[in-house]
Formats: sequence, structure tokens, C-alpha cells
Amino acid sequence: MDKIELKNLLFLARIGAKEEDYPKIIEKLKTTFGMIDQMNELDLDHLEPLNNPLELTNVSRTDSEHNRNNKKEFLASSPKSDENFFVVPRIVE
Amino acid sequence: MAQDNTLVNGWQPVIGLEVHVQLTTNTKLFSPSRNQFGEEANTLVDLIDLGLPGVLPVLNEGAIKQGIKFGLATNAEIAETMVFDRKNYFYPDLPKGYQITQLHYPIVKNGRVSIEDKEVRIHQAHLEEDAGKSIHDIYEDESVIDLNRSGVPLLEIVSEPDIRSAEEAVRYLKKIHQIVTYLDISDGNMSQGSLRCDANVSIMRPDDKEYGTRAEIKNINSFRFVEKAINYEIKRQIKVLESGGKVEQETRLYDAIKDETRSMRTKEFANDYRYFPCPDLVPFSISDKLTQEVQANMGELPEQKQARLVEAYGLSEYDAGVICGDKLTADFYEAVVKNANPELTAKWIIGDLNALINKNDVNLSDSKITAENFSQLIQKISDNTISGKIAKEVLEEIWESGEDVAKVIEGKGLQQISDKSELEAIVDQIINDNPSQVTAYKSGKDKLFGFFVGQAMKATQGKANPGLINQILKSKLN
Repeated sequence: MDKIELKNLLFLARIGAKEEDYPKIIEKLKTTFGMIDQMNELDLDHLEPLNNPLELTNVSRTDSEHNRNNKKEFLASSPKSDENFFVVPRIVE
Repeated sequence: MAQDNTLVNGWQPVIGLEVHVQLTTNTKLFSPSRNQFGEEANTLVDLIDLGLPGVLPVLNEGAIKQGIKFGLATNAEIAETMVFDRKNYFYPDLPKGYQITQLHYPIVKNGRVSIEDKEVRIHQAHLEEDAGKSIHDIYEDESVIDLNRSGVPLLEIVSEPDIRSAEEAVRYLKKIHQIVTYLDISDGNMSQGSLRCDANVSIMRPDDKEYGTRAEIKNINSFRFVEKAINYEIKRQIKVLESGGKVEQETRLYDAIKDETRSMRTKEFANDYRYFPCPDLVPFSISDKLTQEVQANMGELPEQKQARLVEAYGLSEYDAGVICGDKLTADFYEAVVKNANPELTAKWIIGDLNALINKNDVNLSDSKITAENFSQLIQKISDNTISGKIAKEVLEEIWESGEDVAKVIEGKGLQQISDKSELEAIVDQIINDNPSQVTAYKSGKDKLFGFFVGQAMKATQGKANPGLINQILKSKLN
């Protein structure tokens, strides 16, 4: 892990950090990556990937409507809204 | 690999399509909110669609069945077990910060569809949730979000890169459109976003072993734009390569107004989605029993419907094929022929009605033509109330106004004149007024017969019964 990788990681997670704190963060992350490296040493080729630790499958519901909308309350709980919409910073591609 | 007829300036285009189909379930993929287009903003939203902490998504069985249906219709493998993954990215219309989708264990794999003489393989089709909708034209400096679409079930159908031209891409997309509308798993309405398409486009020399670098064109929402966007992109890549440049692997947007694709720079370095299995959803095993149940309720596919129309109504293969080209037209046909002559109905749908649809570039379902009214029109032709020529006029009128056929005919006095003595009087008048033509005809100029028919039609403003006029003219002139 170097500074460029960390910058990318911070960008992907939308986390802000001061450049002077980078060495400290890199040190901390190294322990995490060390653990991942250790796990990577295990030979798991003969095993099916585990997709969920619960011994449970086929949780589903019938396709029937159950309205739990509360537009006013939902809009009010966001940082900014008007009568009809959630209002967010300008995003145009 | 090389197919010379699809080469462009010596380059072979290689195209794969990703088609997003909004499913017609009653509710969303993971929440019980209603799945419907065009409702008041933010009124079809659940705590789950908002992605509030602590809520748990629960999989909709309706969406599973629709996915299986598509797999069966495309001769694909249905997954024994499917798994949902999280695709992580930040965008304001994605409140959770991830989209739930299927990466490694999709519901459908290895399908295929035929487009005329060619087969296009389907790599996979997977279930995923749609995002909300961003709207940019309400405020000057800010955007707004409508989450009604958030969580709507999508089936993303990914083709192999088997397509070699923009025209083939359109044919493939039309086939997918036909299949999903016949299966009734989507309304196929492209202008409302029910069926959207991304195109992966690259070019190579015919003898190259490896594909070129591809660009992905996002969110193309009409058949016409698919063709234009791909053709533009092929030409752009040829220009880049022939001037010594390199095609970048990137996402591009098609601008229909300028007819060009352009780079979406904001996403250039954000293409790290960090997929992992969604811990909120457990794997789902699809039993043979479930697949059989879906199979039993498949409904009619286009080819089956075509064969039935040939059998039941005596239509030609060609006519039945045109009528079954899209489900709307096929359903319309069957509603009309309940009360009207099947062959005449086919002729009028394929000819004049289709011409109006194409000329106005609208869906039959968005027009003012109803099966009931159209059926009346065909009946009026069958029983000689109006001639074919007048029927065209009536059809144009009901296309514009939606007015009842009988009222149009009556209101405009368009009934065919089948009164023999009335027509005889008109023919006598024509014979009196045109002595030189009569003499010429009698001396052997048979072609002049058409002249007399024309005069009779002119005198009756096209309302004379053509069969009767022919008969009277023959008896009086010979």
C-alpha cells in the first residue's frame, strides 16, 4: 500500500483525510492487509465459495403490494428537500 | 470471423449489447412498494428503497419467475442456485451506496436467440435493482431525486460479442423486445425507459486474433438511436486508429441531438465496484418444480402465435409473420377479427394502418385506433358500405379524431352508392357527354374503359360501388 493506492481507496469510500495523516493510516491498513495475505496463503481450491455464513436458503416473499410510503416524513429526514423531491448537489455527466 | 459484408473500410466491428429490461411485477425486487411508472414523485418508496440502516431486503418471487421465463424462452440454463452481490458506488440516486445485482451466479446463463439467419449467444441474464431518477432541470444549481424507480426489478441481458454491425444490433434488440413483450415480463416501452440498452463497440482487422479495445455507450433508448450511436462509434474508432491513435476503454454517452458519442469523464477512474456477496440476502435455489410451473404458464411465443394465425385464420406465413412482429399488433389483430374478415383485416393492418404508425412514429397502443372501431371499418368494407378508397379516407379520419367509424361515414356522406338506377343515370350522362371516346372505345380502344370508370368515380366523388359501375358500363358500351 502506497500513497497513490490510499488516495484511490479514500476516494472510493468518499473519506476525507489529511495528507499528513497518510503514514499513520497506511501503517494501520498494513496490519489488515497482512491478515488478508495470511488468509490468501490457505489452499482453498477444492472448496466451493461460501456465499453466506447462514445455513439458510430461499427466503422470499409473494409479489403482493404493501404500501409503507410516507413521503412527507421521508423527505423531511433528508439533509435537503422540497415538497416533492430530495434535493442534492448538482450532478450532471 | 471475417464477414466481408459487415466490414467498414476494411475494419470488422465487434458489438455486444447489454439490455436492461424493467420487469412487470406488482412490487419492487426487494421491497413491497408498488412497481409503476408515472406516479407522483417519491410516493412509491419504502424504508428498504431508502436504504435506511437496519432494514432487510426480501426477494420477490414474481421477479424470479419472470427471470426463469426469459431463460426458458432463450434455451438458456436456469441457475440451480443464484446469489446476489453488492456493486458499490456513490451516486445521489442510489441511497444505499450499492446496487444489489448478480455477478457470479446469475439466474440465467448461456442462452441464444436467432435473428434471421444468425444466432446471437446470450452470456447471461441477471436480476438487479434499478436506481432512482435524477432530474436536473428544476433548479439551476442543484439536482433533485425521485426514488419511485429505486428498487424496480431489472433483468439485465448480456449478449456475447457476436454482433457485427449496427443493423444486426437493432435486429437483436428487436428480437429481445419481441420476446420480453410476448412473455409479458416487460411492457417494452423504450420511451419510458422500460427497455434500455448499452452497447460495447470495438473494431479489429478481419485477420486479427484478438478483439480491439472496446468503448461502452450507455443508455440508448430507441431502436433508431442504437443504430446511429453504434455507426457513429465505429466511424470514430476507425478515425482514431487510422490517425495512429489508441481507442480508450471508457464509457461514452450518446447525444441524440448532436448525433455523437462523448466520453463520460467523471466515471473514468471510478470503475472499481468492489463486488461482494450481499450478506442481507441468502442464496436462492431454483427447484425443477418451480421451473416446470413457470414452463406451464409460458404463454405463446411469437413463432407459436404465427403458426396459430396461419392455421386458424388461413393467413399466409408472411402476413402472419408481419402481424406477429410485435405483440401489440398481434393482440390487436385477434381482437379485430372477432367481428371482421381475417384476411381483409390482415391486409389493412399490414398496409394502411402500419403506414400510419410508421409515418407518425407512434405505438399502436398510443394511437386513437381501437380494435372495436377498426373492426367496424373492416366490416363496412366487407358489406360494401364503403369502397377501399373511401376506407382509406375514413381510416385517416379515425386516426386523427378517434371518432366512431359509422359516424364518420354518415357525417361526411361517404356511403358507397350501390343503387343501380342511380348509377345507370350517371353512366348515361357520361356516355352522352363523351361521344368521341365512346366511338373510339367501340372501334377497339379497350384501354378507354378506365376513362369511363374514372369519370363515374369523379361524378360520385369516389363513392360509386366499383363492381357495379364496371358491370353497368360493360352492358351499356358493348
